[in-house]
Amino acid sequence: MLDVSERRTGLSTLTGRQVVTHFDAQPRIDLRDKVTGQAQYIEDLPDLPLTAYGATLLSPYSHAKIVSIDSTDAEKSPGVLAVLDREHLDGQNPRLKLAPHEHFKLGDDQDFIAIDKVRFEGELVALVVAEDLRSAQRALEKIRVEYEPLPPVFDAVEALAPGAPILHEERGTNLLLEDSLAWGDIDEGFRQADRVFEESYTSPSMFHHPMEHVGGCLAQYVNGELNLWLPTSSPMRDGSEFAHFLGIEADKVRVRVPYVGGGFGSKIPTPSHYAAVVLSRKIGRPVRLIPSEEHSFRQNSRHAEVFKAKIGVKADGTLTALDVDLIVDTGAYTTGGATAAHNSVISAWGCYRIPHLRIKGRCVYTNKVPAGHTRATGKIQTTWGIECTMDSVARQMGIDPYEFRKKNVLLRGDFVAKGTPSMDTDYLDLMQQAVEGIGWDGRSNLAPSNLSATAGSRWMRGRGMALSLRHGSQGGGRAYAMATMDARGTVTIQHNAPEIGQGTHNLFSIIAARTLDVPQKEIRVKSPDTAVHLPFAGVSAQRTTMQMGNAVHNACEKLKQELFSLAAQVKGGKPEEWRLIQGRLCWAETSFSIAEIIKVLGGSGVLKCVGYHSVRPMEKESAFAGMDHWAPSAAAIDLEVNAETGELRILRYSVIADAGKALHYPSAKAQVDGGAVMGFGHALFEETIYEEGQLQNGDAFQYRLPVMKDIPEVFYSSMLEKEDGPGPFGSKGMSQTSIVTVAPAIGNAVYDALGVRVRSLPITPEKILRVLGKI
Amino acid sequence: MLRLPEFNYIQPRSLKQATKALADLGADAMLVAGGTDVYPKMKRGQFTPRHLISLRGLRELKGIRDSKEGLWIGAGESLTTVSNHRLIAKHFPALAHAAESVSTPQLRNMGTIGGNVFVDTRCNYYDQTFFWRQAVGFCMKKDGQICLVAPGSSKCLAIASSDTSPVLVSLGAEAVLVSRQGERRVKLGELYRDDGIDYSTKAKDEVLKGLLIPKEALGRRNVYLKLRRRGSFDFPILGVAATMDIDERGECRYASVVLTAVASAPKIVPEASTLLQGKKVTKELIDTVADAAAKISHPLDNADMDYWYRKRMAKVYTRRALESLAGLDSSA
Ligand SMILES: Cc1cc2nc3c(=O)[nH]c(=O)nc-3n(C[C@H](O)[C@H](O)[C@H](O)COP(=O)(O)OP(=O)(O)OC[C@H]3O[C@@H](n4cnc5c(N)ncnc54)[C@H](O)[C@@H]3O)c2cc1C
Ligand code: SF4
Repeated sequence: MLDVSERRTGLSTLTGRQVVTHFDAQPRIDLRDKVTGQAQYIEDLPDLPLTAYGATLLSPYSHAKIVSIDSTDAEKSPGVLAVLDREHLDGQNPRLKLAPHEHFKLGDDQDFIAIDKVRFEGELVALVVAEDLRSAQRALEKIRVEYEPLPPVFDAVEALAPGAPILHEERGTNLLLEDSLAWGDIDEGFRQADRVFEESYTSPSMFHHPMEHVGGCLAQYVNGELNLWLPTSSPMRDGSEFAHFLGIEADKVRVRVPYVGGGFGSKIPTPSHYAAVVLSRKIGRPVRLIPSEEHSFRQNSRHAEVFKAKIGVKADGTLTALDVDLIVDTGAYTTGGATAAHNSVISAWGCYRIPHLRIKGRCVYTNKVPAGHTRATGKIQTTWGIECTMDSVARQMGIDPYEFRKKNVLLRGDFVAKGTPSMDTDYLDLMQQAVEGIGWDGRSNLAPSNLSATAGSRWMRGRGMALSLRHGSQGGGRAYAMATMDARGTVTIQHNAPEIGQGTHNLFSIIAARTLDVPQKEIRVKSPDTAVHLPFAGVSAQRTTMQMGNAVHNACEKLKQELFSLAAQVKGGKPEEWRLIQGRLCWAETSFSIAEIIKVLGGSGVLKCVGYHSVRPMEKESAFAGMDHWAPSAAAIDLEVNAETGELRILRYSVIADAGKALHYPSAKAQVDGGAVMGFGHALFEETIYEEGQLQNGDAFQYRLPVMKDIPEVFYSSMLEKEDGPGPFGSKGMSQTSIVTVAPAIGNAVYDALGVRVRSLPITPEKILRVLGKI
Repeated sequence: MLRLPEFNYIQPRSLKQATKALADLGADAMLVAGGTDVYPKMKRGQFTPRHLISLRGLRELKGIRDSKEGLWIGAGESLTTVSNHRLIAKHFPALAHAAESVSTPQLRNMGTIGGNVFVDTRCNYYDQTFFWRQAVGFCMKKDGQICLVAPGSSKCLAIASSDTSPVLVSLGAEAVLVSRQGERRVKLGELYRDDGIDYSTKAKDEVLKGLLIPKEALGRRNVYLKLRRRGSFDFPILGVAATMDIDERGECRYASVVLTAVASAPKIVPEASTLLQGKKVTKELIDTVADAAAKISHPLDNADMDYWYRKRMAKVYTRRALESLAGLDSSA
């Protein structure tokens, strides 16, 4: 038990770095709006004149043939403007186009509205628009759908077995795609090994569960153009997808993004958004969707995975070979299946020096809610697998897991893989800080199994650790941003990187203020709007600080040069002799306000520059899409587990991420903290449960997110800041590293306490008793 | 978000008006206090009243005070008030803790103790949206014919889920009920029936005015232990309330153990009094009572956590509760 004096309430009372910069001390620029309720999210946006409301009819079956749909009564229901279902497509091709993938040729497999079959519970079958929401909902009840239920399959391994129900008959199999990664010679690797081990770990499907529901929008199709207000992470990409779907030019679609109430990968266009757009076109009025919680739960999910590893080790603990087989469950449609499978394959080796490697992944359809991308896509599942494997193998070799990791982990400068940067972090520092964060020397109990037999009803203490490595700032092509300076010296930043809770707007204002050396209060950051054509792949894959941050930096650098040229023209000297210092233009002994210089352009004169960032071009035959750096973290945990009941008490947790440089310390730290809190949910509670043909816990009460009381009171999080990243001012992408280490750290600590290992997430008291052989 | 259906909201100014409205409107009406159980259930179509009679603001239902008969708690007091009250915290930490363990601070500010003792029974097949229940074909608790957990069962087996009721029952609390016919007093324990649908013996036209914890309970030690997956928010999937009186010689003068979430009503463990009263409390005796508690617990596969786990925990929690009251705590 912890001494009470050590207990603290709330997160992170112990922090690594004290607030140092002026920018760190300022609250986020969006904070005031959010705390006072001024911030507008999609549901706060006022209705447009004549806005109609949509209501969705979802499939109650996970797998069924649609025999007939009769919406006659619904169409006649009071207030109804139109019904959309497979019988009312008005010539619209229902097939959704998948965005091109860097590594796979994918076939489109999903219709925006169910045509012959439904393949998951919650698939969109019809959408009604009416004068108000209640009328729309009443009409829904009058739609008669006759289904012929088919057997569902919810497990990816079962879905691959002969005789399993097939979701997409035309494919003849539930196997969607295969992917692989290899180097060295795997057979040779195992020949060199003194011992070979096999380990397997599973993780369940999950829901992202942002606080703002998934699926809201306001769509206005007018005069052949679409105006869409959408909570999304990637407005530019979405705009072109909608244009493609509607058969209109990309510049006829304008996507605007209000504040987004969290996403974690779930805020992407969903079938009901397409349906709303089609209906707006049909009725010539704006259509608004306000999704219910149950609909939100049925629009996106995280991939379940099976991780099986065979691993070869020399007697001294040196790794020689790793052979991993992955099964990735993407649900009813491709959605994020290709990326999830690929990310899993290229990251399942962890962060270790492995001379001979083979990883294979199979992505499989099941009758679950389709799985898109989730914070650390494909990495949560593989980190759970590889980090438990490392701990287990070390212990079976009689080597302390900390020493085993130190021996095998990649060090700064080590070659990693073709097409990637060499290792650019210091794991030894990360590990040391992580174990010190919980007051541990890192040494494990190497013979815990002796204890569990005699433990009785006692609380047993255990400690464990885990590392993670993810490709930072991955893919996405070029990111563009625009900086404008007006005659008052105010700088406006435009971009298409939504503020989804993570602090993008604040980040851009800091980067602009620092680059230009003007006060932060002179910087305005606009919300995304595709009408200013500034491409960006979207706020995901840890790319925003790195890619959009660099684009803003670049735009401001250019703006500064323009300003210097103008100043030199007007006041004399050479542009390179000018400086901007604390918002004033300085040359020799003189200084001027920015306004004084810009004024010469005339009344409405402004300076405007577009900046960009390009990722490293992808190398031929490399499995790694252009990436700028590596994003690692380390975590350690101290817990107690009751040998009689399997109850867990988390005493202390610590996590250290490599941020390169935190540009706004509180926001960066909030990413580390928030990621770990999500990680506790994955580790201990969260899974979408499918039984008896149905999703059993698709609502906020039955689906158990962690609550404050589940977070250890001693929670230490910190960042390495060596200012060595390729992002602005030495920063790196780091927002997805802390989420992945919680589960394996807990799994390893439970072993440390009891000498038994839980191999499937979430780690529950029931499973602990099961592995203890106590049921 | 799920929307409330249309309904008629009646705001009586006195308890008398409330009981009249309730008698007049009959089966179409329902009482609402904090509404933390009622409103979500209306959104999900589990409750479909045409009229809601609000008890908010009724003076007669307010107040927590010491009287010569014991401690009076008005049914309209919020769970926050109950959990923070000086007298309750001092004499009945089990009740303060039970109230404090209900869901979240926001819900405790709204939710009342009266609503809590009559909170609906729960089941994973019932506590779902209309959409979900329709898809499985409904069950007999609402809109359907059979029990989906135990298809052979002729009665609903939804589980008693109030946190405060087992504590109040173990303290011997009495309920004061008011209807147009007048007032009656009854042991709270007698207001429950082991039937998931018809779980209360309270007449349809009665309003709970308040609860009285008798004087003799004042000196007794008491504790409440709650099992749930998370640290807050979740309903109990097992609750153990224990009350004990031990004299100077270490002999037990009074003992009571009441379980919640193991049946459709709070369950009294008779062995607590028969085995412990008049004896010196030992670990062995406690283990026997704990075994008895597990024996009468019949968790089903209709709540969170595996049912065998909940049954096993009924034993562990009973043991822990009694050990802590007897000062024999060893597991920490
Ligand atoms: C997310 C969530 C979590 C919850 N967690 C818990 C939990 O952990 N433990 C728990 O016990 N409860 C829990 N609840 C249920 C509920 O919040 C509490 O039981 C609360 O105390 C109910 O009180 P109320 O005043 O809001 O009742 P209401 O919703 O107003 O009423 C509940 C029932 O009591 C009846 N009623 C109310 N007052 C009287 C009266 N004076 N006389 C006669 N009948 C009356 C009503 O007619 C209704 O049948 C939870 C609810 C939610 C939504
Ligand atoms: S126990 Fe049976 S009847 Fe009662 S709510 Fe559950 S499924 Fe319905």
